[in-house]
Amino acid sequence: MLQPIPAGFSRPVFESQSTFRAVLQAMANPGRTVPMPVAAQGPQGWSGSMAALVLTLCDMDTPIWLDPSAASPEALRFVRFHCGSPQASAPHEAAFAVVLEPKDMPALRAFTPGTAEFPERSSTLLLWSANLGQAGSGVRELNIKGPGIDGRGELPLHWLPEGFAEQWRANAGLFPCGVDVILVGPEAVVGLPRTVTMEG
Amino acid sequence: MTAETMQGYNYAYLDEQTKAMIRRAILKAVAIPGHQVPFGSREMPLPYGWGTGGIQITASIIGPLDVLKVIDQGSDDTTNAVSIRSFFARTAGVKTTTATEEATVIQTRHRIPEAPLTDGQIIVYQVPIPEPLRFMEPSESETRTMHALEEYGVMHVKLYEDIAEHGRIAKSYDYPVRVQSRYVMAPSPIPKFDNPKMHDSPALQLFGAGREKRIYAIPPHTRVESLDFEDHPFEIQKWDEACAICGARDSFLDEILTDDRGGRMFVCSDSDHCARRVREDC
Amino acid sequence: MYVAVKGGEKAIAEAHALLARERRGDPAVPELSLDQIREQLSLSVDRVMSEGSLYDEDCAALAVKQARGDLVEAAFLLRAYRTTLPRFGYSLPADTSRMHVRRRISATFKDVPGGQLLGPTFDYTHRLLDWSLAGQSESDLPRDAEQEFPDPAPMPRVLDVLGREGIIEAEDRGDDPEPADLTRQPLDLPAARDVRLQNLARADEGFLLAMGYSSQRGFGTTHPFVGEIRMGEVEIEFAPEELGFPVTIGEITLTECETVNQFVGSGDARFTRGYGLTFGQGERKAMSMALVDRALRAPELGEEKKGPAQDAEFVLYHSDNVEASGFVQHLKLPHYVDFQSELVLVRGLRRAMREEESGHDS
Repeated sequence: MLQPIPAGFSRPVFESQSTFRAVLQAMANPGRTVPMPVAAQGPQGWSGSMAALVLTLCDMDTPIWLDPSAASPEALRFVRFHCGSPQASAPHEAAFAVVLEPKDMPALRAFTPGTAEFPERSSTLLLWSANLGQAGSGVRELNIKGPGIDGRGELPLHWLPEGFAEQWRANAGLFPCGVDVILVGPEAVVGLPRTVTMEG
Repeated sequence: MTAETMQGYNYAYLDEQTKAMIRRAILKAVAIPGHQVPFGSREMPLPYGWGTGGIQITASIIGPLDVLKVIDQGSDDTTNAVSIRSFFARTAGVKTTTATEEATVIQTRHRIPEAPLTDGQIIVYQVPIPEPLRFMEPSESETRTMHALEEYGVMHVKLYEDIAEHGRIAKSYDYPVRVQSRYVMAPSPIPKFDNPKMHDSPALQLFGAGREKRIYAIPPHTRVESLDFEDHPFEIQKWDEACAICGARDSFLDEILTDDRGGRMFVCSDSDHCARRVREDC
Repeated sequence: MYVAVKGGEKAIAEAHALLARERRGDPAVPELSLDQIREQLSLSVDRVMSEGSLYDEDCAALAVKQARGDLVEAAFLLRAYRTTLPRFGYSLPADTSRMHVRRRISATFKDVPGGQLLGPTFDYTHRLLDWSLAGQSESDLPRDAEQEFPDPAPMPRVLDVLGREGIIEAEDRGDDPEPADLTRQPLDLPAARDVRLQNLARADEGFLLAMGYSSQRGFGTTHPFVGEIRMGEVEIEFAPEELGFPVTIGEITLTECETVNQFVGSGDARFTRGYGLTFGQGERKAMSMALVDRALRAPELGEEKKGPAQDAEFVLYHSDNVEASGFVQHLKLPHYVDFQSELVLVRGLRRAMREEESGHDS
């Protein structure tokens, strides 16, 4: 019996272009909340933003790792049909990783940071952040600095999984190696390239 | 989408798989400022060395909402700039402009516009030789190791030899920079006059070398220092003359021979900047 | 009044019109058809397919016509077309031992199983201009030679015969890993032999010829014997995933050259190999490629590097004529900003020198 596959983009050429530009802006301006221009039809449990990112960034050349809550049979069909990406058997083999359950996220060091000669051969995490975009009252902000940030920026702590900042310090210490993270909210993304330093 | 494009070819010429590959390389380049990311450069319908790296980047980022400016040697109407602009008008149906501040994407060969760039703009440089150490060390495997180990002694030796021989650093364009105190990077053959514009720019700077198959980037607000020595600080070119058309004294000037008896005049290399000054009657 | 020496769309359009007229030549002379180019300039078509990395005789003939016979330009046209084509997958390895051979020679053995077959070659022509070709008549066309050699049976490769004796290095067949693809991944050094061979197969014939030649003259050491050259038609098979078994999708002409080179070891001494392969009939290139392939194996065989043909980085980064032609010719693009920068610098150096000298004088 044929299993239904979520439709993905309705106009792939233009929707992947505008999605990419949002991600590019987010990675070039770490900490900035960049609205996602399109929501793609993805598997159950995936936001339209997450589906759009995977459709834009992944293909047969990029092993993808899905965390247990992302890896439904429907999601596996979706990724295989639209992207043709091989499944990474472990986080460190992944070019891209989809993490829908941040509290059970593998340690950052479980992913691959690249090598001194080829630091770009590192994993990029698409990390779900349900609160992203919400200000909340009296929330703690992390101070962030680095290329792409004019002086100093702020990042609400409740957008990140618990203990993320400590792990991040170790990751940033690996520079030029390190993993890059894209925080994926329901309707926006925030880029955290390895160059970002966090304090507070 | 209503954008009218060339029949038989994908939007912006490249196929979607190639675009995705280049987009991934751009994202990693942005995450590692100044580091050259190898990419599977494609043959383009323009020759290698004529901007194929820049064209591949532009084709991978551009969309129907963009406004594109293309300059070569600072000018919008040099033949190669005209040719590349019409390539994107044909293949991506994109709106084009000569006005720096109207553009969302600026593809350039050998200049940075005189008008300051702004937040949200992307400038795409065409790069012939992306490796700043190449003329000191021809081997790619060697230079890759040198970058990995942050081993830039050979570059300082070269610059110091210049000072010993000429009393100054004898590099007037493609003058090497250090990005965020880590990677030594070739800014492409822009005159060193333009180097300070790269530092702390609000715009995103992307560099594409098609033949050499490398992409690199400088995110906005990134530290970009031209290499120098305490006793020989970096300096930019200055002219005694002013632009013969607009009178500018602070722009990069091209020299024009007006006769064969030594007659010459100087005019702005940035044609948009010059025309604006004439219009505004400065 | 200063008028900028700048092009603009009008100048470009005019240049294109002039080019089109020059390409056509005298309109009183009949226009070339693609059939004529494909059939009568077939070696041009073959070279363009090899260096253009696309086996399509009609497209290559069109490229030759459009490029006014400039074969490097034609290869570039073909490459730029090739990159826009969707990729369905990879064919199975072509088996040249099952080639329908039209030419097959060995310089190492007087006779070999399957025999020697001279085929269509310039080799023993006397290079005298044949004035009869200058005329219109083709009434003297020789009889069709193929009748003499009705479809020869599949022939074992000469080097396989040596291989069974164990006197030449073994070549892995069948269990090789999936080869890399330079059209998708950039060159990475050190490059394995699959990558090197792909690079050489796309390389400029003139470059390979000079490199191979230099290795014969002592810049690098190859002592090659031509084990075998064969040219003919090979079936190409493709196994679509949904079918699960291979189907033949067509037949292409290939030229293959295998060289037997100097031995390594002593008690277990064995000969080494060089390999060349081109689309169509491209014997000069296939032979040059085999020489360069063998020269590039110097590090792996523990030989001292003595010439550029043995330097993988030198050879592989400079072999591609689409890259080389573009970069050499980009020098005619305007460089007046860079040159102005150099002018300012050199004038500054000269002024500093003059000031220093007049300072000494006073």
